[in-house]
Amino acid sequence: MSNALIELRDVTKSFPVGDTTVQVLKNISFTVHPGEFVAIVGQSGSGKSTLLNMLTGVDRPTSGQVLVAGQQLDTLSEDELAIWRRTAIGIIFQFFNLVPGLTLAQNVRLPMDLAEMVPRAARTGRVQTLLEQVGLADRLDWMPARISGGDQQRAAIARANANDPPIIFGDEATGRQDPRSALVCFDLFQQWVATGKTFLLVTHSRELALKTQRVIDLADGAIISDRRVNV
Amino acid sequence: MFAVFSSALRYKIWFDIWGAKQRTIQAILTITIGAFVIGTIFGGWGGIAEDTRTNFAPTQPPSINLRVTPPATDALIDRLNRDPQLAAVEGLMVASIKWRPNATTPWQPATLQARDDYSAQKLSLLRLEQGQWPQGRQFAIERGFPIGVNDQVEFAIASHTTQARVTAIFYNLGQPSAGLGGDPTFYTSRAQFAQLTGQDGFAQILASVPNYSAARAEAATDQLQATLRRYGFDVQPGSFDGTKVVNPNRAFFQDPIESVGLILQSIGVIAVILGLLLVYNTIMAIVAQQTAQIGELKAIGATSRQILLVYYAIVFVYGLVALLISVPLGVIAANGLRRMLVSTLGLKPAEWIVLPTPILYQVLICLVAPLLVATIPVLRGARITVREAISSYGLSGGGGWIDRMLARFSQLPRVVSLALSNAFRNLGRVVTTQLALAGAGLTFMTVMSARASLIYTLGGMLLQAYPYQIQLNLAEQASLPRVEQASQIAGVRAVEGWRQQNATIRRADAEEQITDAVANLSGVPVPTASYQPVILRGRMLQAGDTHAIVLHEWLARDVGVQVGDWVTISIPDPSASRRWVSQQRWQLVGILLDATMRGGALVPRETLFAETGQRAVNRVQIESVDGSAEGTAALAAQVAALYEPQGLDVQIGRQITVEQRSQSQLNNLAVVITLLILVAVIVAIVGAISLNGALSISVLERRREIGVLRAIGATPGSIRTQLVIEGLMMGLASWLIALVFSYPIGFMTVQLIGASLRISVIFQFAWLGVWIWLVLATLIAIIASLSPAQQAIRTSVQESLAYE
Repeated sequence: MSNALIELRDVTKSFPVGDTTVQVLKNISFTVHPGEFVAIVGQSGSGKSTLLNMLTGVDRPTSGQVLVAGQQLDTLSEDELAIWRRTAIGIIFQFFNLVPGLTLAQNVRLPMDLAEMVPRAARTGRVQTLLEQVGLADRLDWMPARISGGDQQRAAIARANANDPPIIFGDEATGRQDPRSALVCFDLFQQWVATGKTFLLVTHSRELALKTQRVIDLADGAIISDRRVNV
Repeated sequence: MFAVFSSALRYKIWFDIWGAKQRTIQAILTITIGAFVIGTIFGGWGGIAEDTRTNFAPTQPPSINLRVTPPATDALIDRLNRDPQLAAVEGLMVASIKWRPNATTPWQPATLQARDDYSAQKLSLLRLEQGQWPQGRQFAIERGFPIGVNDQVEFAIASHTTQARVTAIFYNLGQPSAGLGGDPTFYTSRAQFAQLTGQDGFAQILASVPNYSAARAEAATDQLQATLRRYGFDVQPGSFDGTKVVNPNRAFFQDPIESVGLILQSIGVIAVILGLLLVYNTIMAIVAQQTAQIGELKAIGATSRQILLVYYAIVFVYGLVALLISVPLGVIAANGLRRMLVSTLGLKPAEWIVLPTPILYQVLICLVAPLLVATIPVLRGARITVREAISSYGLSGGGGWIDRMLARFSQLPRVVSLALSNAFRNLGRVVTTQLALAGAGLTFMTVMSARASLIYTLGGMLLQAYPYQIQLNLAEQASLPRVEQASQIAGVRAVEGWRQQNATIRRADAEEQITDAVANLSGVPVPTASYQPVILRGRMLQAGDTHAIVLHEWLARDVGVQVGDWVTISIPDPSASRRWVSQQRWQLVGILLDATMRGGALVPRETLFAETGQRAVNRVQIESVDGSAEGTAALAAQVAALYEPQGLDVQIGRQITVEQRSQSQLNNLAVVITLLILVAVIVAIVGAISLNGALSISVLERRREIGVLRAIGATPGSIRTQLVIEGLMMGLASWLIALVFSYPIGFMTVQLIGASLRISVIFQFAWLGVWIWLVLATLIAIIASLSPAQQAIRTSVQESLAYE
């Protein structure tokens, strides 16, 4: 038994399209250890987002197994997955997906409220800290619709770390940032990794990927390279 | 409930409620309207029952009501009071008289009544409203008539007139009130009654049985009747509706009132259902709009139960606000409605009645029903997986069968084909919106048809059935040549004398029973020119008929006979020397419809003369040359003036002409018709809100699509036109659907109203209702689509495209 935090074993994923079936992921296997900063890169349609969906339990593999933080995800029900996600992982969505009716502070606080792990009295302070880390300390009470896409993405980054999960997944997590903000966010990811978190970044930017520790290259649903960089 | 939510989820619920005010107001309004209607109708009718109970029960209503000829003596009443089968017996002195408030007013019919001792009444208790119990030459009048204490009136009793001063006002619940068109009853002392009428006996006997049951009352009546006949009395039903046995626990007006209530309650339930459809649509739309959000919440750790509770909480808040509004409004309206109807019925309404059952219904409608209705969309939302939720954003799919079909009609303007495609894209919503809007249209058209049918039956049809405008009843029988003298008066075109006679009727093969129906026999000339009713089955009487009979639909139904069957008619002997003057078999040749002739039966006049051994009539039908209301009224007075000096006592009613009778019937039903129209208007409002809600939801869902259209050059005007056309499509579709069902549903409703009022209502399809609803549906569609259109236009292209 390895000490891998993430392990994919022969994972395939197929979707029916009309009368045929399209295989989007083909026998994917890899492991990620605690504290790794991994980038998954590939062209549009290479299967990156589908792979991320497998890793976050958003979707289930057609065959193979996905083990994340000690859980075999395909054995969990939707509700068990939701409860698992509260504490095990954080997700930064490509389209930020903030709840429009809540302020930035309330959006960041929401995972804490759902998980009930962070003591109630500490939540407001933690929300403040998390938003300060992404440079949004002055916009706590702003509604998502009032701020730019880049700012919304930074709020989503703060939200992903709300319950201090050991693993964070980012889908094009800095794609909407201006170069300076993107750098700030990437520094934050590195700080998280430095504190022992594992970070998987799905991106189409090879330049960004090369700043991580390991790059898994996908093409046509299969891994074409898995190499360590900056080690 | 809120304790289970985190503060952030509470904010989300608040935002979904407060942030979408228009949607929230619509949802609350439709629940409120339904609950208000139910609270008003159920509360109103429950209150009427309560008022009836509290007013009626203390009056000690009798369970047996008989008229006896000759009047009974004190000794007989005392003897009956010792009968162990009877709990109490009281005799009333009763006489038909005429009265007028002053010499310039025409005589009107009234009843004069007296009791042995007003301070020791046993049954059908009179209540003293003002003044004192009459003594000596004092008179009292029933409440509700425009006569007060100390007013002078004039009576015509037999052949003499007398002046009288009213010294008291009574409250008599046993008779139709002034508000229902009843004639007044005057009361005086026993001595005064005897002096005026020359009668000292009791023409009416009231009795009650211990521990009332219908069977016990019937058995007691049977025995009482036999006893009275043994003593040489003729016995006839005493209650004004022609029955001998009366249920003392029910007021005479309860059956029709409850039936009308049932119809209104049914329409109220329809309003509730239509409102709930909008709640379903609204929740469906919220869930559809927030599918991606549900995915996000689940992705960050929300469970299905939490999602479920979020949306249930929203619905609960809608319902709670609706409850807080509808309960007080319902109580106020129910009490207003109750007071109005109860006063019309002649009862004293209680100041305020707040019943728990209607409030419980409102609680169910506001709090339980919306949650149940919302369960399907809420469960659907809660069960959605994160992948399904997150991948559902973006432009709507389209390309359904409607789009493919529309693609074949390339000649359609683009704006019209887009509107058609959008209007019918979400078939689930189309169905629920159509159910609400078409349901409203259908209710409206049905109510209009019911109104037209009632007006026709009591108005147009009555005037057709009675082509002779004047009906005069005579207190005593008169020979034909005497009444036919009226044809010599200028302005009289024709005169017909009828013989009217009460009798009992049963199937020829049935044994005589106390419960045998009472028929109001009319001996008419064959053929008759003065009465042309609608014949439902069989035929009208014709020349050559002898023992042929035509029955009113309800009487035929009560007796249980069809055309061709034989019935036994027993005509009592007025001299009481023997029980029946005639007991003969008659063959049913026809069944007629007439809203005003409930227990009516027509027989050939000559045969009735032969059976009774008396060639005399007591009703005169007169055709006037001048058909105007004033002309006929003046002519009626002239005829009365001709008859009276000859000793023919004309019972001039308040409705002397057919037109007046028709108007009086319509006035009695005016409240019912008004209520029906009011409920229809409320249902129409619910329908309008539903369409507006459906269009708003549709616009919200397609905000990105609208943004794309505008980005590629669609003008605000064309977007507005598209949305208005969309609304019109929905409005016109609802009109068509309502039109298809309006005839059968209208017909069934009218039959139901007829059955509950026990009148034969002839169905009239109201095309007016169809056209009014077409105009209303068009207006509703345009108005309902304008605000969503404005909403779509106001939103910038950038905002529209950014919308999720």
